[in-house]
Amino acid sequence: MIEIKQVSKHYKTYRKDPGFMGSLKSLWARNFITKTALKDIDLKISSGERIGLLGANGAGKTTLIKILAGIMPADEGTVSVMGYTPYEREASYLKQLAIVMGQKAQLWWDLPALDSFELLAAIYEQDRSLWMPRLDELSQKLNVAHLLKIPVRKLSLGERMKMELIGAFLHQPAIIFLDEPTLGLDLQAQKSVRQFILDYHEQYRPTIILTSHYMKDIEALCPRLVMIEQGKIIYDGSSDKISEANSQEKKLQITFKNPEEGQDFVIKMRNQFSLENADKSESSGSSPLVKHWNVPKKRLTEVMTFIMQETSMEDFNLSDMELSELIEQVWFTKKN
Amino acid sequence: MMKSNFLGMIQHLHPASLKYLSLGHPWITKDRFSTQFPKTPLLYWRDSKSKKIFIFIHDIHHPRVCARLLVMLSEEDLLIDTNFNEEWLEKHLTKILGQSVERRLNLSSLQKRNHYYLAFQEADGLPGANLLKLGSEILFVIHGSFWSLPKFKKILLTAYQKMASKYDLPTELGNLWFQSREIDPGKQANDLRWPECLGRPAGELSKKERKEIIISETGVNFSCYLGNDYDYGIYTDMAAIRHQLQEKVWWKDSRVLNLFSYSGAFSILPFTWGAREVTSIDNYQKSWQLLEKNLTINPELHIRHRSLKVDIFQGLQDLLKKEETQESFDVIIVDPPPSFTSQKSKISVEDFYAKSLPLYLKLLAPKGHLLLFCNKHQVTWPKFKSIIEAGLPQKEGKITEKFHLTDDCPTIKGFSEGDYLKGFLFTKK
Repeated sequence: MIEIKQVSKHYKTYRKDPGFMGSLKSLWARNFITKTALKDIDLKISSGERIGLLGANGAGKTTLIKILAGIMPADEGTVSVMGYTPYEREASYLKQLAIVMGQKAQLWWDLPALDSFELLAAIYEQDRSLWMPRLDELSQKLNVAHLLKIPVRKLSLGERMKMELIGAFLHQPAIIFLDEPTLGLDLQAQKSVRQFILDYHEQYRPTIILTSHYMKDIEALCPRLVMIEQGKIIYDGSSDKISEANSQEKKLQITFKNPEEGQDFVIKMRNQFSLENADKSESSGSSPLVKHWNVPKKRLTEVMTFIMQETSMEDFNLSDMELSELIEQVWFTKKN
Repeated sequence: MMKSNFLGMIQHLHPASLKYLSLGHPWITKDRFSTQFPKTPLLYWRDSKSKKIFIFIHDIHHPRVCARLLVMLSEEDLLIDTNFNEEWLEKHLTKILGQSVERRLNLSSLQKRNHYYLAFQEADGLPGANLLKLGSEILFVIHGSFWSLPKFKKILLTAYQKMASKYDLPTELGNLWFQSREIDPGKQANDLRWPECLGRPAGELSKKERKEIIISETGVNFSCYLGNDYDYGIYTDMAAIRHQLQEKVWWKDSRVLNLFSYSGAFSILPFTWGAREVTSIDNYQKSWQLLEKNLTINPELHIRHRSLKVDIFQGLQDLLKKEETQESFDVIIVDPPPSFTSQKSKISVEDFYAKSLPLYLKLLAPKGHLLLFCNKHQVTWPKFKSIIEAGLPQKEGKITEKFHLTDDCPTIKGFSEGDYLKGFLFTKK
């Protein structure tokens, strides 16, 4: 359905010295640099798949989505989506796409969502007899039917995102790009948006390509995960292992007042919880005052209670594994 | 109007009391006139100009407040309500509590949390008391000393239970908690006493009698302790403001600094709004324990959190040293108590801001947000704003939003004590 072969994309930009003289100089002698956003990407996505596209800012995922949506061409390689070449932007192709961006709205701020839906239906040449029942169904499912006639600016962030989803799904697209669809939403709204996307997928089976930095989005929505780093795909596989790794441990870092206390506490943690100090090496430049542990989430409360009672620390860090660390962990386990 | 042992007439009011009453202030403070008031539980004053009848609860034992406005009636009302006795008081309280709960039922923001004020002191017509719902527990927070008198306590409790049974709220004594915050002369301020509704005489609760509950706000869990402390674990009066902040501040991928983090509502909620990492500073062990507990009971959140248990100024200085080589904070939240001890000396919120405001500018990233709160009713809105403007010059940025008590914590005009919570959002250039 989606086939990307050896796709590369480069951006040409220039470097300018600061100040007026720098600006003047760049008019005559511009120092061009080429940045590679994507490098020899190969990717196949079947119809009806749900995949998570992940990567740090600037990793290349937005470029990839823009190429798939026909917003920009690839510099090298071929892209085929449902038999179309996206950048040719055939109307019949574009009508089958939907893009939802958590940070950008397509609905008119001062108008009720219903007015925007009317316009979108006209743009997508949807017959009223078809889209009206669909609107009823989607708004009922998202529990926003009573808000359709209220100006969008008066709605909460969660309600606005639900309206954006309706706007994007109204023409029943075959491919849906979701860019951070739960960004900024509270936990309850995040859950209901995720559930809606799952239900919609179950019913209509569109292909969903999702980017998000919330592990929960990935866990809930994407059985397949594609990780991009510096323009290259570094992981393409099941998200199960990543989810599993994510649900297991949290990273704990304590800064002690003196090295002896830290050393004593390493022993106490070993004796009490069989937890080994996770510092790779004392000689690697880390301070002897700082100690790390990877704590199983199930034991976190008891470990924390113990720490509170047993230490006089003054600095305490608690973090979930970053996605890149999780992927590294999964790869490491796989390789060994 | 019938005089009785329960209701007495105020003959003369201090001109200042009259003035403030006409402006909407719901108290009469103690003065030379108030010493002449009859010693009845209820008092009334007939204003000859407006022809209104003001009914007060007589706060005999309070050191500063003499009478608290219960209701204002017209002369026509008096034709119906003539017997101002205990029965009338109970009926009246049942009515105002019911109205107060009805108002909450229409607030959509309350659907996202299970802790909120069912009645918010004078603004909801409940003089000298707050009524909170904390999950499946009910907490009465008492400021008026008369509510601690057995007779009034019973009236308040019965009125609550009658109202609660209509709205499916907890009525069992085991779920009801009283916290007395009135200030008695000769007693330490904010003394905690827990009354007989728990089946025992008043006094501090034993460890066994305390209760841990988990409450939730927009899906995030917070651990709270009833019967343990003056503060139970989260500032419910800030909840509506927290709800607003979700959309007023750009949280995505932000580095957040939370000063006076207490149990960490502003340390944990930002993760649900898209924050990348949060640093919290608080010097109190109890706050630290609450925060760390709260961090562990939200497994659904992806967190990257750092706690610093250090004096606030020391913490700021430490961060400044580190931030010289690192990136700065995108959002800084400052919510200090009215006064606190720093470096072994007591400091007021006004002095704290005067000293600390320039430091935030150094720690804040360009276009960053600085949220400044003040919890002291004596610091008026203009005064708080002038403190901020003195410490944060206009060339550095500007105040872009104002936050005040709202939703389940309404305020009334002319009652500055009830409008105690003030907040400004400063956006750096």
